[in-house]
Amino acid sequence: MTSEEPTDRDDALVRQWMQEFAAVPLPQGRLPEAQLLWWKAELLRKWDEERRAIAPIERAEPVTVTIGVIGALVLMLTLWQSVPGPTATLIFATVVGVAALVGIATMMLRQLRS
Amino acid sequence: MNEAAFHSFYTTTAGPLRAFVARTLGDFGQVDDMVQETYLRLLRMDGLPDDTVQVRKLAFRIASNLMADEWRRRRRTGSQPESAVEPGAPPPDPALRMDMTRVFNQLNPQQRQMLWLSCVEGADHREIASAIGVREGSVRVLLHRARKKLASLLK
Repeated sequence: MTSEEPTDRDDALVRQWMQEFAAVPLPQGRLPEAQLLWWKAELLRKWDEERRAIAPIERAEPVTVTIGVIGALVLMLTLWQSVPGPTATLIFATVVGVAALVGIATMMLRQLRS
Repeated sequence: MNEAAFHSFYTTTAGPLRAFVARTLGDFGQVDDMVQETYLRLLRMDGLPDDTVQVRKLAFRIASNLMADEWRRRRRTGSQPESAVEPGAPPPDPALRMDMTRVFNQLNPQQRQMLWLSCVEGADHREIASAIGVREGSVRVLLHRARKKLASLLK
């Protein structure tokens, strides 16, 4: 053992010093009551559960909107040729476009709210 | 754990946990917030054991992790501890108290945690390893170095 290695005496010194240090009183704390902490944790637990419950819905929402928009576009393209005249085509395209915009806006609003 | 059990657990552990955080964190600015966060995380855990000894160990582990996050944040942002002095610290002998705090703060955060857990909480190597997230085999060496450094500071 070299002189730099802690001896049993050093260990005892450290241990005793730590005990004395631990006995030094701490300043007054601002810890809340146990009851308050318990109810705060209960509330957080409920929020956690809610978040877990709606997570799949939130994940699926953009997918459903995207499928809806793609479906509308496919429908428009499929029926494009069967629609007679330029005015009817314009009305049809407007309806599909508005539906797509409403879908996207709904998705964005929901995301903003969360 | 029900509310009554938590009340009893909190009464017996809040003091030691607060002392552990205050002394190893090295400042008093965030101690109470960190202790509160420790209990909130503990209560939100799934499958909390019924054995209060195990729960107490878990609480110290959570507090250790929170302190490690804080030290990482300080290193990243280069920020200083909020308050190294003890606001409203009780008498007697404030000079001696400050001196002891100053000596202890010369150890690195991990050494402070290890020495506190070993010498004050009476934790064994496995418990220390679990609390501070190092391998059990490393604890012996790291604790030896921490003791050596503190001994040299005290001489």
